[in-house]
Amino acid sequence: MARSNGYILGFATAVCVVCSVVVSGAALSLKDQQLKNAELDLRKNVVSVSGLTEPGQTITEADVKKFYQDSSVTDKSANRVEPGYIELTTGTITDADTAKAAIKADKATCKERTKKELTDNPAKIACLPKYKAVYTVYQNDEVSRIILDVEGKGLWSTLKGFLAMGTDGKTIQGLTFYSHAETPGLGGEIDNPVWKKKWVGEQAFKNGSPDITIVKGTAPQGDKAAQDGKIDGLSGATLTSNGVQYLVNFWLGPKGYGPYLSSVSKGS
Amino acid sequence: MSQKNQEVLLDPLFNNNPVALQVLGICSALAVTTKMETALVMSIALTAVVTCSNVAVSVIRQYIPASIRIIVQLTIIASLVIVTDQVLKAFLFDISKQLSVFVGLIITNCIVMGRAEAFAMQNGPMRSALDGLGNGLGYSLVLIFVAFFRELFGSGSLFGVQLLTKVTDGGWYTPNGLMLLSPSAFFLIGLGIWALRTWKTDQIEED
Repeated sequence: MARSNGYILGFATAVCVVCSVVVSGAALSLKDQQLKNAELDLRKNVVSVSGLTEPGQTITEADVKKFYQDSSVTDKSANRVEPGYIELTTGTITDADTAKAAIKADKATCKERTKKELTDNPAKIACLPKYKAVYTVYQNDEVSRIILDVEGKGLWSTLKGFLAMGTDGKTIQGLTFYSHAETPGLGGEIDNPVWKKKWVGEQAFKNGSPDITIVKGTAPQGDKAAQDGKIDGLSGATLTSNGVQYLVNFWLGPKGYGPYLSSVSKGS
Repeated sequence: MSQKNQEVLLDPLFNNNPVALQVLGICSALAVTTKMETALVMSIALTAVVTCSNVAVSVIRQYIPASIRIIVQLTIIASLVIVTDQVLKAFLFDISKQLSVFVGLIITNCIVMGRAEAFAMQNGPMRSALDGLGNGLGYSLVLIFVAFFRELFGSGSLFGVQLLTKVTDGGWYTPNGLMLLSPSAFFLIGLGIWALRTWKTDQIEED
């Protein structure tokens, strides 16, 4: 049966309208739950690199409740992760509300400013905020780790993750990504626990500047000097590996958390 | 249930299995079958999508202009897949993270569009629903079959519960690493098809 063009157009429009209403209805009604999940997942990732749980242990909601504590908690003797904010250029700790407000106010100008400030930008940071989150891990009443909030471009997507540093501000204690959209099985292997384990204990700095290299194949074994700061590449994922390398070096560097890290290492 | 309806529902399980006989939907059968949990969730997601899309297409089948029927089917399927993805993100966040792009790729799963075009365009909503359900279950059967062997021999566990104690944990079982890689799913599906055709000899293709 032949139909008029008008009918076909009308039918197509009706299908599109109905489908878009269904899709946006679902997206809107489930948004709260999804945001809650994303927040919990973020905290799980923070706890997973905090060193407060057994290595390789699956982090549950209970672990997050137990270890992730904001400033309202008064028990200052427990092993815990405390979220906070720092001003990147000076490395000083800032009040969370001030920092959050500043980040929000800066949103519109951030991209333009970043373009001007970062002339050499291999990690392709789209927006370099003035304030950034820092998570401090306390174990037996002492700071045991500092967790940095890092991000940078991989192959397809922005990799967002957490980098845990020792109290010397130089040794990597863990790396995890909580959000990315790299190819599963190739770049997606940045989630692989075996690969993540390779980062633990790496010296990130050489002659005072961050120098992590992700090498193709296997990093040199044995010789300590040759081995330092070198991580095995992920096969079939050179561009994602490069992205990880650039972002780690950037955020440990002078425009990233560098000033804060050096103040931490002096303090201890 | 009438004889015909029963056939529509049960045929795709063994007699006309979408994966084993029509060899459709292989991509996700390789990708999400290293664990029972992900395979089960993927199976449920696909069954839900194919059932709903069959019903939706069937209801409006007499109004769909023939010239744009494929794109209309795709629009309906794509919308259902996005809704499924959103539901998984809201209620099964961890699993949806593991399934990553493969939920979205249900859109391109040939089974879904194959059923919409081949069955739902010609049959009523009730029968189309049964057909969608049957094909979804047929796909699920293969996925669960593959995931059962891959998880059991690859990780020594089922649904994450350790059944065979691994050597690394002080046990006796050395996990078969091949089972965790995609080729093993090919081998298992191949063996499954072989077994199925030995049982149902009418499925053997002539040379």
